[in-house]
Amino acid sequence: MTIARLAERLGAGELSPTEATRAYLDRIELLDPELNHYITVLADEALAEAAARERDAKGDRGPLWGVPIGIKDVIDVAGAPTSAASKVFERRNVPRADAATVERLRRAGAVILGKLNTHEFAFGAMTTSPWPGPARNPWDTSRICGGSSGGSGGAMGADLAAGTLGTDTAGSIRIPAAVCGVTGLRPTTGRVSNRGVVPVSWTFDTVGPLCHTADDCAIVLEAIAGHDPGDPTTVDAPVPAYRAELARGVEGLRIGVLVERFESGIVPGIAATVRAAVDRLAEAGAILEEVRLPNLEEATIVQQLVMLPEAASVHRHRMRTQFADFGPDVRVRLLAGMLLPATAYVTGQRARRTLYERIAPIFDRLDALVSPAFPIVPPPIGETDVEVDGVTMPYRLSFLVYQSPWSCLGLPALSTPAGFHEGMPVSMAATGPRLGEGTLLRIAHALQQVTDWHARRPPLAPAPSDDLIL
Amino acid sequence: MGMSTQSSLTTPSVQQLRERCAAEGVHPSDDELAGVVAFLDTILPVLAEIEGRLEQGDAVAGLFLPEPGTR
Repeated sequence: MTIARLAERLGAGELSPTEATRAYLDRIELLDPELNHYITVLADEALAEAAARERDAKGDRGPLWGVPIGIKDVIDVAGAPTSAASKVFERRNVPRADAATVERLRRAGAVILGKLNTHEFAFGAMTTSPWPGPARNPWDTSRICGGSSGGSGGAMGADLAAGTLGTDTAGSIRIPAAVCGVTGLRPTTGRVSNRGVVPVSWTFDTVGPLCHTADDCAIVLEAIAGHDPGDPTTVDAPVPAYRAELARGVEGLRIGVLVERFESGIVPGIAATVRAAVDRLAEAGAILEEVRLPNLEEATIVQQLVMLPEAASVHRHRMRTQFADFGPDVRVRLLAGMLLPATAYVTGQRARRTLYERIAPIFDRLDALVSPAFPIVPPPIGETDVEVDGVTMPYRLSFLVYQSPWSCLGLPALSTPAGFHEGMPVSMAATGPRLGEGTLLRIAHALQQVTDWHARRPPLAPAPSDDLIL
Repeated sequence: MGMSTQSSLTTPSVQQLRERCAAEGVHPSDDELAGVVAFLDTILPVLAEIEGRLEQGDAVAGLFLPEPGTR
């Protein structure tokens, strides 16, 4: 069930926050032993919070009142371990305060269900950390959920929460959203506070929602966005009424179609599926224009030049004292960050600025750009190579150009369901100018008004109280 | 884009990387260092190209400056 629908039922008294919370806990108890989307389930705390919502209810309750939400386990929830899915922390790192985003969700009336699996330290895109083990894709449990917010994407796909929070450094919200068949939004860097989040890379990290619909993402973004004195990198700009803007549709919007992303480096069936979805936007009144941006490949490397040394800096002390506790893939990335020449970081920052100055002006004449969100079927758990266009390559290199350029430039980007290929979800990406989240949500919402891809659910065993929340 | 060859941007050997790690107090395995070589082989040639291009320009090393009205 969407947050919007759940809020209607809660608001009308058809269902109580306690009943909704218990229904999600039932599904988690039944399905999560196999799916492994949760690292910590806060059952008692969530039921107590739901009861408190009922006791304190008065006046306008808002669309998140009593709504159970899951939190990626790099985002602090007071009193619960932030494990970052790493043996380095396991359950020993227990914050005393909520992250800014959790604080804001609670203030809006949400109930915190638990902490969700992630790629170790959010530094990778598979969510297969040795500890606590891989998150399984609800559409095919032999396959990965993507990452790094794999538990957030998977839990949405499996209805193990009404909404989730993830973080995105180089695609970590958009990738799991794309391969789990849900909607995920990476807001503009600085739009949402990072206070209380274990960093990957201060320059790129961004918290954002993964939900069934663009409407739900708008609800969550309105709650968590905005300036935070505790995070000096946040933008001090008003938070728009994203949800109210959705009804404007896409009539007259000028949307660039990134044709290079459809032509090569992608499974042809996925490209064709997304292209058909893009054409639905034209039917809804958008004006499409084919666009080529040859600088995007370089942007993926520029992003690495900055991200890798920042990540190595975050973990420098732990690399000396707990190196063996990191998973093998994270150890290699951290070493790469430590061993790059010192000038690489400065060059990366300079190049980032020149790229921004070359690419961002396209948004003077276009409202947004669209492309496929992810070019391959997510691989089976344990496989690290994939085949694209007849070429075998490391999984991590197969999708970079689809996501990391927008992180590199600090721009908002979104993934929305656009069909299926070989039984797995396929998604469309949209990106826009700084603080242009509202336009991206309008585009996804318009597509979701004329398709039902976002409403499809994987075939999972039913839980006792499903009729309350599905 | 023309490739410039700069000795400082040649991927170091596993032995060189091991020595640099030891100086930092980190002790990876040879397999891990081979993984780092693969990373650097991808990144360093592009870094060399970018450095060559930026040397001739005046791009500053600042982070994003706030746009008017956004901060």
